[in-house]
Amino acid sequence: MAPTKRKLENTNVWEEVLVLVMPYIHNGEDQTSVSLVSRRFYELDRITRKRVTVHAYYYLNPASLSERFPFLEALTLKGPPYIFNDRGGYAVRVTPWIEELELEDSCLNLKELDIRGLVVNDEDLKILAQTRGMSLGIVNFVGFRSVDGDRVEMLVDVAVEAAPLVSLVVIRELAEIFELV
Amino acid sequence: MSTSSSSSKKIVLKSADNETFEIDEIVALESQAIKNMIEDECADNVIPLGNIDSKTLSKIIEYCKKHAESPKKDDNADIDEKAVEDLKSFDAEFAKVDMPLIQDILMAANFLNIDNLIGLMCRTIADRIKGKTPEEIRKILNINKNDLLSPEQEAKAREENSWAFD
Repeated sequence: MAPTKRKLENTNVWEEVLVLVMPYIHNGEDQTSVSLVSRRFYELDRITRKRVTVHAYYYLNPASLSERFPFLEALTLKGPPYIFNDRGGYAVRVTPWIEELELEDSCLNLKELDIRGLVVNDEDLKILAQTRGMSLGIVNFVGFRSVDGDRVEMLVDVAVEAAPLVSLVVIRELAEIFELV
Repeated sequence: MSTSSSSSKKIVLKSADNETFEIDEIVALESQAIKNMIEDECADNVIPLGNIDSKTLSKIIEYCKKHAESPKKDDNADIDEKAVEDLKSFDAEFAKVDMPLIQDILMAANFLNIDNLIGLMCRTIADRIKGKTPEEIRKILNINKNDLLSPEQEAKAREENSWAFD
């Protein structure tokens, strides 16, 4: 192939290229590498990232989530693996994350919320239904622990209040599946 | 479907470096932007493309020609599979160019609104940085060293990256 006559140093062009390419980078590790390439890449990854899985048992600072990825559309919160979670050993509450989502300017574009293996109580569900009920399209609770006696009714409330909700899946134990809406 | 071009209308494209390319209208119609111009009757005999150089433009024409000539899906079920395979290997060969040219083609395809070509170039770039470290990506994409994260920024980003995946 013929040698190219110029090097692409114009960073504005780079931004245009990257904005187009970002949606094609699906792998989390690649997104992570891209975010460390340069300031512009970090910023572009920050504002274009739509989907994140947070390991809530490693890290508990929900405020930095919306700061880092303000335009997130799908959030998965993962609790500790089952092996730790059984018999109340090591458990993580979803409450701080729900409180974060209660804030008006936090992850405004969020449409999907997937909560796995975290402790969920009635108040969490109530707040979630009140604050995000109108904007969440998909809510999943998988293998969750409720301190208030596993009341599925509260989850139904989330579904009822959530007008655009297209899918609500509740899987308390792996063998037990409720599908609503 | 027609592969014969004897009677078809011609369109002339002019690159930034004033080279002209005469092509069949059907080839030009691969570009949604040119299609709109023709439909709105905004297109004169010559369409000037002041931001696309001749090297990039000739690559783009090569792509559009192949795609315009290739039978579209469900034209004929029998040739579908072979044609799809043929087009796939054409695309794979087409993308074997150096990174600056890929970027130029991508920007031009974006300007001309050629969806398939935008997708092909984006996938090519994404493939080339797959599994690479930030340092390797900098080399592949020839990133300006002046824009690196400061050590503090990088530490913060790495810390955030440790809890966020996917």
